[in-house]
Amino acid sequence: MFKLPDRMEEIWLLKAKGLREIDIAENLDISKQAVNKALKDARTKLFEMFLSLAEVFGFEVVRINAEKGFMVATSRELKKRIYFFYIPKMGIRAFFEDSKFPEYLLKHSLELGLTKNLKKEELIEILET
Amino acid sequence: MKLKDVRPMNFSGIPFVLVVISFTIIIVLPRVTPENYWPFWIFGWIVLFASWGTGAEVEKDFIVLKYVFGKLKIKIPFSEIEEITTINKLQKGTIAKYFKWEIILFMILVAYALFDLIILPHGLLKGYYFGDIGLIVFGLFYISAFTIPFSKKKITGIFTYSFVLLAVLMLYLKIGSITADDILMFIIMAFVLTVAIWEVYSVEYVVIRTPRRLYLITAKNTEEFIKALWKVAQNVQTT
Repeated sequence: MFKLPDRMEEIWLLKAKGLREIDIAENLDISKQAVNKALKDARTKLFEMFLSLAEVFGFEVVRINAEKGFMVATSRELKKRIYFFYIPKMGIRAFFEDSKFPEYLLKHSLELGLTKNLKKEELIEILET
Repeated sequence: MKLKDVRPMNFSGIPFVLVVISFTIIIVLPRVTPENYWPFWIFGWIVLFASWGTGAEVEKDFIVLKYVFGKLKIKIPFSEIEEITTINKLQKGTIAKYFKWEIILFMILVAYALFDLIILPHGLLKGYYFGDIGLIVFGLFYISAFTIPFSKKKITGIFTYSFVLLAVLMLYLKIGSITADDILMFIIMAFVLTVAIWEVYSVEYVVIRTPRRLYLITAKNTEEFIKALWKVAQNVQTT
């Protein structure tokens, strides 16, 4: 349910890594319009996924970034921050602020250019600024 | 669907251009042409009011921000939105990170008022000096409020009231004495600053980012706004 279709995910990931739409179109041998449409759909679906999760679990939404695929929210019951990430092939994963961030998440953040190091503190700093 | 208690801010695009024009007319024009500036001055205020957002609503797949007394409608397609952030809920969120030009505008305003205060001759009515000092103090207040993270409200408060002391010092350096009437003016200044602090912290600030532009809106409570977005997201047709 909380996963983008494969082709859409592929296009979204290339954009999230910083490629221009025209370069993605050339790489995948499709039209620029198709790339643009896929990105629009991906953004809308990611927003819907994140907002649905927040609504179902009653989290307070602080930030949703559909470009890099993350959401910052607060659990009202636990009064804790929760960070949600859209990880390609895995879908959405959630992590509490005081939990250990797995290496695949830190590597994913590095690949997207969110961070420059594999450090949890750096990632949280970026998400909270 | 009208978004209740949501107000678009004039920090980007055409509304920001209107702010720059109005500031120039209201503040600079009376100094450049001291005679017959009144019609322009009133026009400047009208331009400033026009830059203020009057409301926001959801129309199909668009968020519509209204300006210029509701006549100017800026439509943001939902599928174009890359990010939505409630800045005041971030641990280190500041308006300055997103809207640098707003800060630069206030910096120019403070620099101009300081320059004007320095070159003003001695022996004028005190209103001339208070005009410049007021601009400096309120300019510095907004720079602080927009640059210091929302989570550090106390620091903003300390800075704000220290600007009143700075104002006393500036007047003393300019005219060489402080009277009881001046102290009353500074008390009024501190009161107005208190209202300004309350105003800044009484609303929530939401940034909407698209590939082309940033938009800032304020809301009494962002929950309803987020729920409205969720409904839009569910209704947007994707393939």
